[in-house]
Amino acid sequence: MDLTSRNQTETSSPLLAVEALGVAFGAVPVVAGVSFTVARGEAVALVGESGCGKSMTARALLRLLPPSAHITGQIHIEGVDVLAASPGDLRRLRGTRTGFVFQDPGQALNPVHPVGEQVAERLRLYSGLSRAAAAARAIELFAELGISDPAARARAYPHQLSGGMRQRVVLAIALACSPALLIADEPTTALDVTLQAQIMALIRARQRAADLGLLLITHDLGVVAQAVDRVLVMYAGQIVEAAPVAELFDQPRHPYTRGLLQSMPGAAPVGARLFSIPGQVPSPGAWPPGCRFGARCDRVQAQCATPVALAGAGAHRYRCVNPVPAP
Amino acid sequence: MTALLEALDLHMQFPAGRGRVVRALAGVDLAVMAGETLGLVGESGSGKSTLGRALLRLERPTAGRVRAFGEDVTDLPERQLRAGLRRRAALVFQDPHQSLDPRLRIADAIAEPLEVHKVGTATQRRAQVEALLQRVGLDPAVASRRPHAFSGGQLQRVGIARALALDPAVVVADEAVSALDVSVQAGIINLFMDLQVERGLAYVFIAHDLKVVERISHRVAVLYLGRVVELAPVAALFSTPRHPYTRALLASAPVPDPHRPLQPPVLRGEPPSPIAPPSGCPFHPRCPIAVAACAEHVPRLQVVGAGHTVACDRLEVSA
Repeated sequence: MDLTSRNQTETSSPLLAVEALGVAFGAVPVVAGVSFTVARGEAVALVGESGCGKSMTARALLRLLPPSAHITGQIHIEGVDVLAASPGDLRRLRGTRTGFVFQDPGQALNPVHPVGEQVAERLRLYSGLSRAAAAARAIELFAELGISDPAARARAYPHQLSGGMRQRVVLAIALACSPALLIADEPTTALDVTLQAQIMALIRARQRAADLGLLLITHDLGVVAQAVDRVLVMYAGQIVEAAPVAELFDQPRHPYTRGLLQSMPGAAPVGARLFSIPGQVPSPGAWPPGCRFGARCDRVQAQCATPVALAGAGAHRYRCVNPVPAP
Repeated sequence: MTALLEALDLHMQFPAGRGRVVRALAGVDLAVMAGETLGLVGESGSGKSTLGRALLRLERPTAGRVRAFGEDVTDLPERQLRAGLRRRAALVFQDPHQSLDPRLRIADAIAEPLEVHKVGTATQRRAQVEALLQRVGLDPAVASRRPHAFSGGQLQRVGIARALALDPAVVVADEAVSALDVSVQAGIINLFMDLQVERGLAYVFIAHDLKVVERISHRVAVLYLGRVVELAPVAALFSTPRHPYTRALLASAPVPDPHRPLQPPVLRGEPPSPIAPPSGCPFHPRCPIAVAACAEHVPRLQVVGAGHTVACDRLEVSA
């Protein structure tokens, strides 16, 4: 971790501080040396393509990975050392201080219980509400999250609800105990575009209203542009660029980030060819010792064969020795 | 231009259990012309995939006709389809992991249509597989590998090579780039467009990503609950959409511009179920300009411009 962000960590004591995070399965690392922070009220996106390690990173934050995953480094949420946390602390962190929204709401919901009960259960377990108060609060939450006819919907089972409704229920569970941090892993990827817009607007509105820290994990730069304050771009298990959202779109410095932006289907004029990044992402276990993007990069130099550290000034940093010139 | 595939008042219903039916298509008229890309957009339950499969007669319609290359193929048995439609039209799936047999070497997967249709000798087929692999951007040396050895993007290239094997006139691509990462997707979109120029291929390009559809299509049909609600040349559809649903769909797409403030969502509610579609205009329960009459009659497609038709009875309001 470089000096700039260490100072940030100490002075403002961020909501979430991740330092030199590594995740490995057996001898194969899938995430290596990932450091970042999320402040209270800040929305940060972790962006990258399949297999870059973004979901592994998100799940490691609350130790939601299978036991075979070996996690190294430091994770602090509100000052609590997650990797050293006692079962009780971990339970409190997962239950009340953080909320988690997954891509597939089916995975997060219990198919044999009415959805209202599932929200109420969270409130009873973690906020100490009575059965009646929890049930009433669940219905209130449904209404706040735009679920029409909330009392009737609370009695429905997950399979009786549409994908968009289920994702609202998952969001209700995640937000039930007023967490400080919301981790949303591809929350709209499985939804139709009109519902995507609704759910993203809802997440953004709740995030602002409750001064939530938001970590949004997504492959979709289009979703990112209007949803977050800061973006972290991951490639092959590393953060390769970190910048405020406008800077990232206006002046990407890492050739991979630029490539991602240029290959978006709307990036070139209609009729022109799209830019496409040649080659393939190296698999975990086959990462080269130097820049992991080097083999696909049009700006590659001899120095790229040795490990590249995050460089740059202030909030905009990139892991590149020959960055794209600033315009 | 000649129509390659045509849907004529096509209806498709599937049993949904307990005596209910899913009305996947509710009267679609559409033609795919030689050399063009017809984009089909719509959300879950719009019937766009069903329409693609019906045009290839992979499904038999409940009512209406399907014509292929000028011939009515609605009631043709599979044996007769094989001699005509199956040779001249192909399908590319969303997930090549599912459409390719995991035990089959990819050379055999690509050669399979050639063998089924008894095209060429074994040596000729091998040479053609090699040429196809090369054309879709894969090293012919990978021919003996099995699907698990490939990434999603590479496997989609295999799927395209297989679709091209019989040199079809039209390819239905059903969400063929939707599961791919953006950097990989760009290469596949370019490949589709290059192949069209080289071979004069027509595409039915089914996708939910509007930016992809805008890039690749000449004409676009917007489907909602089994009906075409708007059909237009691509520029007209994206610059002057007339149906309130098309407008909502375009406005809902995320804009990759951090300087543009987040717009409030334009549509409330979710698409109704095709099991219990609303009366009248299928969009009326979510429509911002609907009036009572919209629940009464299904609007007919009206011509509003060159090749531009819209099924809305409130056009004077949405002008």
